[in-house]
Amino acid sequence: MGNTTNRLDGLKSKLTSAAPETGAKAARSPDGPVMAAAEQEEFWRLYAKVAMPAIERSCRGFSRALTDNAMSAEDMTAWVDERVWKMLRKGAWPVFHDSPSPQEAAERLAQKSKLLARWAYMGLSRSTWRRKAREAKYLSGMSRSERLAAVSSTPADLERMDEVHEDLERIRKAVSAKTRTQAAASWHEPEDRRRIAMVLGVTGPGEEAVIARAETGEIKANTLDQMRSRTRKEIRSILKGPGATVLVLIVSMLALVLGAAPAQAGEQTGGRPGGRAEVGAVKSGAIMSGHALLAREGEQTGGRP
Amino acid sequence: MSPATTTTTHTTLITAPNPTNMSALEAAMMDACNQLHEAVGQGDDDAALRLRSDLAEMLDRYEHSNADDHPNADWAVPHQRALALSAAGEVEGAIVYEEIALEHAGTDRQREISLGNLADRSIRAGRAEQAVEYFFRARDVSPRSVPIMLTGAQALYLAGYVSESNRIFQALGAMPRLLREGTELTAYLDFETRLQEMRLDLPALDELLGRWESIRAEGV
Repeated sequence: MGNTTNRLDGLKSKLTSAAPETGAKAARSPDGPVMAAAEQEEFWRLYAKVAMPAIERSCRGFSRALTDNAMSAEDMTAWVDERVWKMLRKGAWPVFHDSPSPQEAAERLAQKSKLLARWAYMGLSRSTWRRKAREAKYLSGMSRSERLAAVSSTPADLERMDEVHEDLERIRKAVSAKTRTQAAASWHEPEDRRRIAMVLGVTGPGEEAVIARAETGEIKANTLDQMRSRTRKEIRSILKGPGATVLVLIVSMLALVLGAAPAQAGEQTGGRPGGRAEVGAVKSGAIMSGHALLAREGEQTGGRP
Repeated sequence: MSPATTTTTHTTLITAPNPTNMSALEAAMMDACNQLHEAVGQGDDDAALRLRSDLAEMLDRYEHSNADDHPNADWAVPHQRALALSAAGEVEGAIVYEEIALEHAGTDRQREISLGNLADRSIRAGRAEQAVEYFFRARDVSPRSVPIMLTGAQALYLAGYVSESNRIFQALGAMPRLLREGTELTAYLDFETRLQEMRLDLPALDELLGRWESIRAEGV
C-alpha cells in the first residue's frame, strides 16, 4: 500500500514538473482544494447559465455523429452533470485542480464541452449498445402490429432531398400538363374537346391520342366522368395554391371561349359527401354500413378501374 | 418514362408519428387495423370477421366519446372510420371518409396524415396518377415526412416515374439514422411487400433493402 502511494505521489510530482508554468494546455495536475460552499452555489448557477448549453450541444452532436441518435443526449448531459459534481467535490483536474473562481470554472467547462461529451459517450457506450441489442432481440419476437405500434416519426434531412425536390417539381409540371389533357379529353361536349385542348395548350400527338381515344369510346363514359370530375377538382385545388396564375388565365380563357364559368368547374367536387351529418349517420356495425351509405350515394364507387 | 407494371397486393401498414400522443382507444384501433390488414392479406376470414366486429364497436365508442376528447373530433372520427374501412379492404369507402376528414383537418399534421392516406389508398385503388396528386399535396404540407416520401415513391413508380422514384430511395439511403429499428423507414422496408416487388426495377431501393437486411442479420 505504501509503495502504491509513493508511486502515485511520484507520478503526481512528475506531472506537475512536466506542466508548463504558463499557458492553458497544462498536463494533468493533481487534485486541488475543494471550492468553498458559497462559491459552489455561485458555480452551479453559472454552470447552468454558461456551460450547460455548450455541453448539451456537444452531447447532441456526439449522439448524432457517433450513434445515429441511439444514445440519448439527455442521458449524456446527465452523465456530464454527475461527472462535474464529482470533479467539484474532489477539486479534480482538468477544471477544479487549481482553485479557479466559479466564473473561471464554468467557462472552462464550456470550453471543454466536447471533451466532456466524449467522456459521456465512452461512459454510456456499453450500456447503450446493450440496450439496443436487447431492444433488437425483443423487437424480433414482436408481432407485426406490435412492431408497428412501436414505430415513431423521424424527419428526413431536407438538404439530402434537394435533387429529389427538383425531380418532383418537374413531375408536378408534367402532371399538370396531364391534368390539362384529361380536362380537354373529358370535356362533356365532344365537339369542343379540341378547342379546349388548344386553349389549354395541350396539342401534341400524345394529347391528340388521348382525345381520339375518348372520341372512339376506347375510354369508357364513366371513366371520362371520373376523369372530368378529378381534373376539375385538381384544377380547383391548384387554384387555391400559390402558383395559381397560369391556371387562373386558363380558366378565364375557358370562360371566354365556351362560356363555361369557372365557378361551375369549382362546384364539381366529385359529389363526395362533405359534412358531419353523413359521418354521424353511420352508426353501429359501422365499417360495412358506412360503405353501404356511400354506395347509395352512387357517385364514387361505380365504374372505377 | 415507361409505365411500371406491378401487382398491387393488399398490404398497408399504419404508423403514428408519435404513438405516445394517442389515446388508449386510438392505439387499440390502430393495432386492430394493422391486424385486420394482415388478416385480410393472409385470407384469414375468421380473424378478419372478429376484428371487423371489434373495430365497429371501438369506432362507436370513439364517436360517442367525442373522439376520446380529441382536439379536433370532426377530423378524427371520419379519419378513424377511413382507417377501419381501408383495413377491411373497402378502399373506395375509405377514400371518401378520408376526404371528409381532410375537409375538417385543422393542423398541418392532420392534413399530412389525411393526404398521405389518400395517396396510399389511391395506389391500392389502381389510380397511381391520383396518388401522385395527393402525394404532391401532402409534400407541400410536410416535405420532411418519411411516410409521405415512401408513399410518394410508390405512387411515382406505379405512375411510370421510375427513375424519380429510385432517386427518393437514394436520398433516403443517404440518411443512415433512418436505418434502425423503430423508424418509419424500416417499418416500411419490413412490412410493405410492394417494395419487394419494386426493388427489381429500383437499384437504390434494392440497395437500401439489402443494407437493412444485413443490419438485421447482424443484430440477431
